[in-house]
Formats: sequence, C-alpha cells, structure tokens
Amino acid sequence: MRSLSEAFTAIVRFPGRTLVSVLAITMALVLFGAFGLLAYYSHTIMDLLRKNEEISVYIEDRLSDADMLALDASISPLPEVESTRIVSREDAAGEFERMFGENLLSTLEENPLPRSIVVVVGDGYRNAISFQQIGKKLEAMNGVESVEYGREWMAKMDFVLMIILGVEVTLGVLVGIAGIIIISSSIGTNVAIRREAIEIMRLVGATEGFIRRPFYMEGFIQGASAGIVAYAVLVGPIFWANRSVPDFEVYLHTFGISAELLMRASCFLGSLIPAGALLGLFGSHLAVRRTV
Amino acid sequence: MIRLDSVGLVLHRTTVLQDITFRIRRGEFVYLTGPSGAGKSSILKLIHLDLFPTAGMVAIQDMDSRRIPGSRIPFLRRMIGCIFQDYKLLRDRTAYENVSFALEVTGAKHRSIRHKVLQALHTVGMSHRLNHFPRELSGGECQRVAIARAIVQEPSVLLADEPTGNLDDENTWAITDLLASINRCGTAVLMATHKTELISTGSHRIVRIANGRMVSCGL
Repeated sequence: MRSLSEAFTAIVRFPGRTLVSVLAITMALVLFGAFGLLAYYSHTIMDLLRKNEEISVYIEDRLSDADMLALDASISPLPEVESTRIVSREDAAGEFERMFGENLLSTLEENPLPRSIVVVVGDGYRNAISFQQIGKKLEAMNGVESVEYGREWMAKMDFVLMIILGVEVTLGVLVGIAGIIIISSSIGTNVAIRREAIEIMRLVGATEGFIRRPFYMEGFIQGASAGIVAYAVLVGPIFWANRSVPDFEVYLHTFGISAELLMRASCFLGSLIPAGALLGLFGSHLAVRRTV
Repeated sequence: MIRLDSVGLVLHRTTVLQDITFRIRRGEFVYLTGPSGAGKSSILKLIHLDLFPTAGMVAIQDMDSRRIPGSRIPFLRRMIGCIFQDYKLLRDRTAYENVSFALEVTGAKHRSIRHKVLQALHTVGMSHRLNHFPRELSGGECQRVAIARAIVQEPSVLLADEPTGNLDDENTWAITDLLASINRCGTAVLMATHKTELISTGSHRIVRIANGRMVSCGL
C-alpha cells in the first residue's frame, strides 16, 4: 500500500515526465498493435485463400477404375489429407464447360481430359513447403501421371506472410527495447532525485525491498497505463463504428472480417496491457539495479 | 555490546585503519577523537555496517560483521541511531515527517508512530517546531530533529559523527548535554569529535585515533 502511494506521489510530483514517458510507450505499443492486427488479418485472409487451394492428382490412362479407387483409398488416410474427390473424364469435361462455356466434345471426337483425384489438404499443412512435400509423396505413387497445384502463388503468399511476420517480430523487439529504455530512464531520473531519501532510508534501517518497491510500482503503473491507452486508441474506433455506423458488420464482412475475427483481434490488443505492465516492471528493474 | 577486534580497513589500496581494538559497554558514553582524516568516521561506518573490515571483526551485540547476512543488516541498523554534522534531514519534509520517516520504513503502525514521534520531539525540545521544514530551522534545531529521528526507534547505541561540527558554542554545549541526557536513559553513545574542549570537560572514556591507528583508549 505504501509502495503504491509513494509511486503515485512520484507520478503526481513530476506529471510532465510521467506523461511524456507514458505517451512515448503508448505510441510504440499502438504501432506494434496496429501492425499486429495487420499481420493477424493477413494471416486469416491468406488462410482463407489457401483453404480453396487443392492438389490435382492426374491418373495414368492405363489405370483401371478399380485401381483408381484403390489409389484414392491409399491417398485418403494420409495425415496431411483432409478429403479427396474423384473427377472422372466426364466430370472434367463438365467442369471445362462450366469454366469456359464450351462443350469440348462438340469439337473433338474423344474426351482428351484425364481422370484425376482432387486432394483437399488439412489444417496445418496449407503452406508452400507442405504442399511441395505432399506433391512429391503423391507423385511417387504408382499410377500417378502428374500432380498440379498453385505452386508459384503459394510460394509468393508464404513469402509475403513471412515478411509481415518478420516486420511484426522486429517491431515487437524494437518496441520492447524502446519501452524498457524509456521507463528505465524515467525511473532512473526519479531515483537520482530521491537519492537523498534513499540514503536516509538505508541509514534508519529500511530493507532493500522497501526502498525498491515504489520504483517497481511506478514502472508498472506507467507501463500498464500506456497499455490501456494503446488498447483504447486501437479498439475504441472499432467499438465506436460498431455502434454508430449502420450495417458496419456487413461492411466489414465484405473484407472478410467476421465478428469472431474482431473479437479475437480485441483479445490480442488486450494483451497490450499486460505487455506494457511487463515492460514497465522490466524497465524499472534495470533502473533500480543500476542506480539504487 | 560493541566490540572491535584488531580491525583493519583498506579502501582503494589505501590503509585507512590498522589494528583497532576497543569495546563499548551497554549504556556507556565514549568519545572517539583524533585529527581530521584520522579514521573516526570510518570506525562509525564500520559499526553501522556501511563498510566492512578488511582485517579483524566488528561485533554488535551477538552479530559478527564477518558472518552477518546482507538481509539482516537493515534490522541491525534499527538498533543503531546515527547523527551527522550535516544533519541529513529530508528538505521537503517537516520536522515531524522527518522523524516519523524513520518509523515508517520499519513498517511501524500509524497509531504508534504518532505517539513515538511526539515523544522523541519532546525529548529533544522540538515539540513547538514539529511542522517546520529544515530550511525554517536553525542548525541547532536541525540537529535536535536529527537526534529525535535517531532515538525514535529506541536504539541501544547512538553514533554521533561530529554532531557539533556546524554549530556555535552555545548549541554545541546544548547538543552535548542532550546526548549526555539520552545516555543517562541507558543508550550507549559513541561520539566522534575533534573538539578537545568538549572532551576535556567530561568524565567519559576517550578513544584516540591518529593516522588510522589507536593511540589510547581510556579516561
């Protein structure tokens, strides 16, 4: 209780310094949170796109229908496979007609399209590397002529996602370091101002914990406040729009943003508050270790 | 109560103290004297465990400087009151707050703090100035507040490092009398001073230090 009141006294005594410190950390956390949202949104959208990506396994002509069924039965139980679907020559011609509006058999004597097994890949395997590995595994199977999927764009998507995640991680590290430095220097100044009092505390028998606790508390308060403000800055406009803008949810839905996604994003942004508090604690720990 | 056995102290490769041996018994008043730079303050710092001897040992009651864990030191310091030439008062706190501060850091209960602080300020004759800040007090009054802060925890020993160094003759005698009256109530006092006129008038034991060595230890 005394630590809390001492910490608040220090904050009230030097409001300008505290405000600058909290604002600087808030800006860093807002930047991190906003980019985190972008990364999360990108990941979700790309996951959605990947969900539509399938592997087409083309079957050799010599394979009988019974053998094709046997092949399908050996592909289905693979751990990476969510489901399979057999596409006959007729199905393929029908799909061709649906896609291009032209009946293939009206111009050709024989249906040239091959039979295939369409493989839907399971969760956790929808990335370029897994697709490549599954493709190789399928290609090696007896009776498979070739395997096709959107190799290039999958690789591009993975690359873009990696860059976004890389930037987010870098930002996280930079924001962490910046926050720790800001709080550490703010608490360090406070320690310097209170050096005389600290000396007297030691003189009259104060324990090190008693001397240090208010500084830890001050760092915690500064960091948590910055986290709360950052949360409000990022989530506030969403809540405001949700209440004030008619059909806001419908509008968001056109961008692939569901209510569940918003809820998850809000939870992610909520983690800025404990993250800020932890930064504050760590920053004050460094200052106290260096100066007290 | 306090024992220094063959104490030596080397700081930054300079020998500050060598072979210092003396005792202070419970309730005793001892002068520690010698020229400036002789090592008087270092001896007080050793007893307060601000410094640790590089040779020999300092024992305070049953605690030995060679074995005391760091976490016990604050509790030991609560048994030792300290006053200094420069008072070491907090400038932004009143006389009352300066004294109560010494009890607050020990986690004493609010109700008992008030009673003890008023008692200590009464003992040093500062009851009428308890809401004054140090800048509003004279040197003698500041030292009285510092003494109140030192005795408010009811220590068994009071270390005084040149407590009259900044005071005029009148206040010097007043503070010395105050320390003597505190001593008569049972608190041991070790007073470092280079003022020979103070020492010559008393009947207390005198430990003389010169160049970091003990010259004599008697009346």
